[in-house]
Amino acid sequence: MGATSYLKRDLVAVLYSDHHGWLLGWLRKKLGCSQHAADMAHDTFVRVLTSSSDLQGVREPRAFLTTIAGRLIIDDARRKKVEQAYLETWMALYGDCAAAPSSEELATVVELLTEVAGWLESLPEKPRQAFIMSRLDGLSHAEIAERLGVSVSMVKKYVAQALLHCLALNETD
Amino acid sequence: MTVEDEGPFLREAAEWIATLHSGAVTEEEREACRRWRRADVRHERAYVRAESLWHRLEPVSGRHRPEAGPVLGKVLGPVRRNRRASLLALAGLLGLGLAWWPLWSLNLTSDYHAAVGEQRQVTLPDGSSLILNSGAAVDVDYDGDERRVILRDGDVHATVAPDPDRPFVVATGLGSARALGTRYTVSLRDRNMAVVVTESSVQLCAAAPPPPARHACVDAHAGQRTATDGKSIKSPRGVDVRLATAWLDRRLVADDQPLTTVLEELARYRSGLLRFDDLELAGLRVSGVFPLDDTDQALALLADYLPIQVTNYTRWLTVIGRR
Repeated sequence: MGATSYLKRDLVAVLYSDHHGWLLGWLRKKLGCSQHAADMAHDTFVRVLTSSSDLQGVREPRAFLTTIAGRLIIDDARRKKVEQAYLETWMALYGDCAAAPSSEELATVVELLTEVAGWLESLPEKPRQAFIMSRLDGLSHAEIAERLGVSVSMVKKYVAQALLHCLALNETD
Repeated sequence: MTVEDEGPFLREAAEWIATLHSGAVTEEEREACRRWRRADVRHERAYVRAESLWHRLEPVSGRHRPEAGPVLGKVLGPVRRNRRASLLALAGLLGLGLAWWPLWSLNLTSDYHAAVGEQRQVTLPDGSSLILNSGAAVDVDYDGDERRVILRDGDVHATVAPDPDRPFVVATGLGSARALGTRYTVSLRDRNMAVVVTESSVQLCAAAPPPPARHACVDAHAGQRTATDGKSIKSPRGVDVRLATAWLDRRLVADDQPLTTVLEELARYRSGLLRFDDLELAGLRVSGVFPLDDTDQALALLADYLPIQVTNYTRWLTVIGRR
């Protein structure tokens, strides 16, 4: 274990010294903001360091890094979108005078919703709806069947399909 | 991956979890599930993984449930529908007048984009240059016979390096604006693509003219503006180019425009939400010059001479209402 992580640190160090500058340039072009680019480059290497991927098997280090960085950019964009939608929904539900959620609470729920949105994004409409109604709303399969206009056994398939989809994506994170 | 990999059993585990939460689970089904879990250590592992993910969602089904559904609805939108239209439809359902833009979804995958509130200058390989206005996004395709800039959203001002062999085109989903050597501005808003020519001339062609017309193109010359909705093209008309492209000088010029139009425009330069009710503000009109570098100041200026109130709740939310 110790030897493995030592080797991994070396590999990441090599990746860093060879490609950090290039990645920073790539991100700067993509994001149009050097501060944000520097943050993203940093996060990319943190992700590489903590991920379980086999670095020795990486043949195209730049493609490898831009894939990770690209995913981080999308996550970051999604998080901002969720945060904005959350505040907007909060205002609509609780009005202008309610105390805003604490930043810690906001961060936790936004993080979770960002992750869930990332999973559900690539699911077709009906499995997604069935899953949300079952897991978030606690509706029974019979109620969901009625709302979606499908059979009860189909709802079970949809919910299972969605859960499996989330499990698969959760693993590749 | 271990020898005892639970992967192949995740589907069955997910089906069991779905069954247990169907709202009509029988004792026989519970017992069958327990038997399945005991039958193989990989079954048990698969079940635990599926169940723990199900449980991780507890916060958004419990106390944050009222917000979670609408947030996911907004962020994900209905599948295969115009995302922006559905966001606005949702805003309408909630009874809100909203002016904001799902910028992130549109623009981060493009070659160049300007962050909200910023202006960005880009020099292209042939020496042509672009100025992107706040939130604008373009892709650049120089591989073919022509130099193509694809405008996804917002405003772009192009200064074109002359090259008779390779026309320079700014294209959108609604049409294309072609030039040999010139300076011009293309703006994309909703279903409208507008071209303002600063120098020389530009040919604007609609993307989908209705049959029998196979082509719908007009030439606009320096000092003129033309526009297309994708089908027809407006005849070019003279405009004050300095005013029409005031954003290049970081200014917004309004000449007797509805307040709501001006607020929608200002919203493009702000990273937070700008919220107002179209009906409440209907009838108010604006003339004036407003700074785009400081939209808070622009809003304060508006509040100085219109009967409106500007309230900042957080840096994310500003609400405009009648006084």
